[in-house]
Order: sequence, then structure tokens, then C-alpha cells
Amino acid sequence: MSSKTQELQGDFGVWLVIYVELFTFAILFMGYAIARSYNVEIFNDSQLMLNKTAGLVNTLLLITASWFVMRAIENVKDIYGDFDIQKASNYLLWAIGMGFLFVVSKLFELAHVFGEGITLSTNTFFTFYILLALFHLMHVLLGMFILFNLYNNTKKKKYSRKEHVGLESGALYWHMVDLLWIVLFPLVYIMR
Amino acid sequence: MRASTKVFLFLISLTFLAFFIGLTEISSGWFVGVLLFSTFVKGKLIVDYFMGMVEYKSRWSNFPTLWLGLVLLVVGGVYFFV
Repeated sequence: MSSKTQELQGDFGVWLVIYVELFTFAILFMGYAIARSYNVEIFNDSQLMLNKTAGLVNTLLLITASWFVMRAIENVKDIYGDFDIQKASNYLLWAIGMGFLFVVSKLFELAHVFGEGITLSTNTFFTFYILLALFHLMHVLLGMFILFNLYNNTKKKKYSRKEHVGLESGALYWHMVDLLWIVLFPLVYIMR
Repeated sequence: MRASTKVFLFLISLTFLAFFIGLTEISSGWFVGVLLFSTFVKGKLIVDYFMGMVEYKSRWSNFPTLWLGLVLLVVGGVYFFV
């Protein structure tokens, strides 16, 4: 753990995907901030209509899911001398469960917003909010699909102490989804 | 306690801090500064410990941190100066 290496974990393809996704979301986040500077009152008033508790719960769910994924990686990489593929498999299942709860919570939140008669064209704030929410939700769903594949692979004992690049790559994607939400939550729900 | 668990608990704490700031519903430059800084710390912890960057010294390993810093700098710049 103490000596640094040149090689990143995961394979090159997943890093390419991560960099493209980060770039895309950076444009959306900066676009949100710039659009807000032209409509501060509309953004501040509209933001009050969002459910901050739902935002908090969603953040806690994603952070917890990331922690479970991290624990699975630790078990497979044998970082603490406790290699246990079955335990890793259980942690991945818990992470998928957290992801599922996030999806349910987000769908309830969006249903409430749409139920208020709000659409993409209501105002600039809600255009950004709905686009960011749906775009991020798509990434969560893809992340859950990836985690499910990792779960299946751990069940089949496809990973070992020495061969676990696939597990690392999938985990990296999930952590990226978490990282994006970590920026999205304060930006859209809190900052005013 | 494992490093990942310490990071997890710290992330949870910073999330509650942001939430309680949000509950005040006050437009404050000071609050925006605190939120931007806590978001940077949270993002950096995810990049370093969950994505494992703390173990690597490739030039590519700096990219997620640069991304995070740039996004938050632009957001902060727009909030404070535009």
C-alpha cells in the first residue's frame, strides 16, 4: 500500500469511459452555474421546491454503496489478509441493493416533481434539474447492471488475489457515478 | 478501523453538514465557500481512496482531481463574481 506504482487499477477502456463522462458532466455542471447567474431568483425559488431530504437520502445511499464496493475489492485483493470471495459477493449484493433504493427514491422524487406540473420547459432551473437527474439516473442503472455482472462473477469465483482487473474496472465506474452525485447534490439542492 | 470505513464515515459527516447548511435556505457566500470546500474534500476522498488513486503516481491519476478542482473553481467563480 505504501509504495506507489505507475499503473492505474482497472483497464484502459473504463478510464476512457470515465474521462468522457466526467467531461460531459463538467459541461452540465458549469452550464448550470452560468445559467443560474442569469436567473438567480428563478433558480433560488425553484430550488426550494426540491426535497432536500430526498437529496440527502440519495447521497447516503450512493456513498454507502461505494463503501460496500470498496469492501468487496478489499476482500478480493486481500488487502487486510482476509481474502473471502463469498464476502465480496455479499458486499456487491448490498451495493446493488443501495443502488436499487436510490433508483426508487429518485423515481418517487421525479414523480412528485412531474406531478406538480413541472416539465423540462417550466424554467431553466428545472431544465437542468430534470436533465441532470435523468442523465445521472441512467448512469446509476448502468452501474447497477455492471455491479450485477461483478456479483455473478464473484459467485462463479472468477476473481482471485492476482486476477481482478474486471472487478476493479466495474468498481471504478460505480465510484465515478458516486463522484458525479457528490458534486450534483450540493450544486442543485443546496447552494444558493 | 479500516481506512475505507474511516473515509466512509467522514463522507457521511460532510454530507450531513451540507444538508444542515441547506436547511437554513440562506443565500450566503460563506456557506457557498464551505459547501465548495467540503465537496472538494469529499470528491478527493472518493478519488483517492475509493478509486484507489492514492496508490498510483501516473500522470493520468491526477485527472479526476483536476476535474473536480476545475469544476468547483468555475462554479465558485460564477457564484462569487458573476
